[in-house]
Amino acid sequence: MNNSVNLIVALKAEAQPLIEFFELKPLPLDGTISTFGNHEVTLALAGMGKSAVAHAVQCINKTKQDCVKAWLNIGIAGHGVFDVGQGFMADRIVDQTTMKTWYPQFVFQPVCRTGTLMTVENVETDYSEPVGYDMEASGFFPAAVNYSTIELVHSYKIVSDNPQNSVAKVTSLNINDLIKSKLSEIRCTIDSLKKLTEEVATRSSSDELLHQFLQRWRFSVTQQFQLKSLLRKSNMLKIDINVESNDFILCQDGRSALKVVERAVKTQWRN
Amino acid sequence: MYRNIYVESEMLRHPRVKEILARYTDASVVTCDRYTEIFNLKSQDFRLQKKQPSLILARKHSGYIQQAPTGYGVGGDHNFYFSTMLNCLYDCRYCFLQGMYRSANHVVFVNYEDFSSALLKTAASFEKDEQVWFFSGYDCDSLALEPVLGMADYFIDSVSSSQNVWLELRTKSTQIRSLLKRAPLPNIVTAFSFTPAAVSEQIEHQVPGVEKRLTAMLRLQEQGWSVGLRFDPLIYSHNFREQYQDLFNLLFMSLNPDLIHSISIGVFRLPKAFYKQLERLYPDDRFISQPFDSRNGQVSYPLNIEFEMKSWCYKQIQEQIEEKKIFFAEISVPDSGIENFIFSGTESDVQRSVKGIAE
Repeated sequence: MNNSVNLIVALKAEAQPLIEFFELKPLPLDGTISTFGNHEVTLALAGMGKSAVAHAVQCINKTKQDCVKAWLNIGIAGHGVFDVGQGFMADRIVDQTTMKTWYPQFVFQPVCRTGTLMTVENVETDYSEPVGYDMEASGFFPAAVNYSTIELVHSYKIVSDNPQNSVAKVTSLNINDLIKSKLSEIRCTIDSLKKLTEEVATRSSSDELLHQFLQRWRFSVTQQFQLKSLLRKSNMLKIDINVESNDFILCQDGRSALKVVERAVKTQWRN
Repeated sequence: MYRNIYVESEMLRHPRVKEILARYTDASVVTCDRYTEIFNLKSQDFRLQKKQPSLILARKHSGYIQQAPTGYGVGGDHNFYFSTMLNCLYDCRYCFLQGMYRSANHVVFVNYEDFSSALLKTAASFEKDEQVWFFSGYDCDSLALEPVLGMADYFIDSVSSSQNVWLELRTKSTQIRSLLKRAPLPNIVTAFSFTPAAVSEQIEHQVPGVEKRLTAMLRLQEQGWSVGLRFDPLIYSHNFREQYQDLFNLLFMSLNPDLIHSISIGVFRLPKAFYKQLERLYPDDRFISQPFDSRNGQVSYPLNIEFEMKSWCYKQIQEQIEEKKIFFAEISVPDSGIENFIFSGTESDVQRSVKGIAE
């Protein structure tokens, strides 16, 4: 099972420094979005706006059905009070149109400040509140939470404009530099998320013994769940289960094999 | 200790919220409309959140006082419980909270006044010579956050002049300063939960050690406070007799039996759905991996082990403490296939039967 951290980025200028830094290669994925990846990170170049990023999340998810996924939306944002160049993570995401709100959960120490991020339909020039302004987070967050647990979904933004520095002056080159200046923070955040995905993944890892059972007998879906649970228990309790042992000689089907395992676990646990 | 604190916007000006926030000046404070926007959502992972729980300060709007479940009592006439906090600082692997909530964040309902009014109103609906018990510590530890929340301090004050209110503060904590600074009250019982030291070290993560808890109990007793002992859950191991004997020896040789209000005993048990959730969260945990039995919607030890443990522990405790102070925390209904233990449903029947086994 491959676990992955998926980066969802709106603009090419935001993506380029990340592709270079993480040495990502183009991936054949879905004709509608460009994706890049390596052994630990996948990046989707989604395009601007809420629906574009939500679509990108869906596309990435389609190709990674069987793994624990973390999601990080990276990009630039306006801000009512933060300085240009300041990196921050969203601890509250508000959709300005619907006023729906989401609360990303931090179970790791963020490397930067945290704050409210308001997703707007059009570029914000008034900066009327002391919050961040972007155009993607409220599309990204609920889409990604559909495919992961909330603790593994985050938005990281770098301030590109504020009341003193007009958004009109933001260029591709600026954006490139802003992302480059925060690569170490991005790296740390990805590492934290990666660690969490690994932790979750270990809970559902399958093993060789299960494979041996599945090869030898047929099990219904319910029986497979029971078998997995019993084998996990036997492993934890250091109970030796050997498919080749005499205990299993008379087992004609999955049901009888399951009973042997169950009996072994119960008997040996009490001794 | 808290990195993130969520506050319901209507409670931002509440004095108790201000006091709590003043203690965590480095925390990031995020406002929300209702705590349910953050707590117990579908896509949350209890185990991940337990790594760094957030604090949520909220207001409870109704249901302040709940009827206690059957079998939850220590000799009172009426039993209720209340929870000003959801979730616990500690991380005990047998705890039902892990199966009940998807979120490990700590929710604190700061409107103690509403709880207190409801509590006193409930008590007033009964006769003055009846014992109406209110248990705190069902959905949280009553004292673990006392220096921050002052919950025990507030409720002791509010029930101190009531004639029929009895309050149990159930805890594994040693945060007893708020009790030590005042004169003891006969209707307040601080009940400490224990498992043997070796068990506690393995499955009661972040809980103060057995000896530290005992020291806290001794300090309370020295000042005249009643204490309770809760051996619930009893945890099985092949040498459980030695382990529990050591624990009982330590406790009963140290504590003043006259100031032990009550002792309750109950084996590990969980609703089946909660246990399934624990299996999903902690498949790598040795305790969870034991081959428990499932009966009547509950997961517990096989019935013979349950009764062996209960009867043996009862016998040991009975040698130290008056029988009338010992209570069983749950009713066991046996599988139809096990014929040695056939009880009809009442608690006293079960208690009589188990006492019979012990004798």
